[in-house]
Amino acid sequence: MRTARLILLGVILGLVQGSLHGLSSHWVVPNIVLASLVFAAGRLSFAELATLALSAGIVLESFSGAGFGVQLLAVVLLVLVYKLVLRASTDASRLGFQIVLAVVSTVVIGLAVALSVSVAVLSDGWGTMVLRIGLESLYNGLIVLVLTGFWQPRQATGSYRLPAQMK
Amino acid sequence: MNSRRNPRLQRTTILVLASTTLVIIIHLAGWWRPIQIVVDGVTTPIVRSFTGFTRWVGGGLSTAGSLGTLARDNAELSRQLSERDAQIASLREVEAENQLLRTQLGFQKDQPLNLVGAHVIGYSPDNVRRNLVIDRGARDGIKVGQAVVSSGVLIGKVEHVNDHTAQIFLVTDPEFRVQAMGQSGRARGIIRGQLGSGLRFEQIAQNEKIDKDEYVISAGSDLVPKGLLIGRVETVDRSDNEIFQAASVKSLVDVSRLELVYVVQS
Repeated sequence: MRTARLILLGVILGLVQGSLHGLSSHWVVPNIVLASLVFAAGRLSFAELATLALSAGIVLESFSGAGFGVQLLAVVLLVLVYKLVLRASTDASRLGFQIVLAVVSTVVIGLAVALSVSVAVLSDGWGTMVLRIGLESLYNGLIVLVLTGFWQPRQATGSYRLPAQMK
Repeated sequence: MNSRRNPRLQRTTILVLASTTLVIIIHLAGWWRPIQIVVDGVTTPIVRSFTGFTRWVGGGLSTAGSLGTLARDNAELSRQLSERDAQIASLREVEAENQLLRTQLGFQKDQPLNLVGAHVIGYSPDNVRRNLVIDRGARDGIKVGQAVVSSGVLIGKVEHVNDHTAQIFLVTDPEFRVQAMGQSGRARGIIRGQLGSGLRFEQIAQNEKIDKDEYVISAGSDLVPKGLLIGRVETVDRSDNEIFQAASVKSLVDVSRLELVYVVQS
């Protein structure tokens, strides 16, 4: 049941991401799939996080103009890296670290998508691309900040549940 | 280091990587189609609602942001409308004369474009590529390479086709290319999208004539018919020591407000 809910959540996150440019195709929009994965990285088990990433990634592929597999592979590999980092570092659950993780992930995915564009186009528009990826990193960092800020005070309440990995 | 002592983590890692690889292999082998039909069937109605909502929010924000300039824009549009009225009146005369001459010379009538209407149901999830997803696909006769128009203006080409949906690469996508020409000077070149929403009219020979404010139309290639309006020249970059000249072109359609588009089938 929990797996089914995670798959549904992943699908919904992917669909929301695919509709975000409806706000304006000129604006830079955040990557809420990525921000959610960073936020959930310390709160879900590896298998659960991977389920979320796979379901969101498959939906993202339906919308992506980059070659098939770029978005899916990027989010899944990032989940693997998140878990490795979280296991290696005791500071990994700190807010600052999560924001850095969101920014680095945004840059990695941005570069992965940019590689689907020819070198000539990239050399002409690298300034715009850097600006767009920079803004997206900022937005994603802010989303992680807001989500974590919203979540942390709830840990003091009676209804708070321990993350799966700590049980 | 720790993962060596944790067989469960190793198993999950292998399972996740194997699942991802399997999905990509299934797609490469061409067996993704039935899965895509299911994914499209489930997600299309939901994403259409989400897109409608984000478009509504975006429209509201855009209107709120432009409140200060509405009066000025209104005056400018009224002036442009008067100019267009005069131009239309003049063109009607030319059209009537042209029709008469065509009849006398026995020319065939131009075939009207066969258009298939489609709703925009989704957008590119990233900030680098520029593409749309529409709710028409192979079952509606959509084919890769067909032109897509809105308000008579070329906005993109079909890039991928599924059974019930299709992906459109917009003219502003960095990988978009189409043969084009200036409407007045007939200068030929290639229109390509740029990172950052603009269009570039390139590979125009130095001896060709292209001017600011000139309309650029499709030159006719593959499945893109000749004469589709693409945009208007904003600046011309001409240098004597270059082989070609180039121009910056602005699309005449705001692609962020598209709800209904038309695929040109012939």
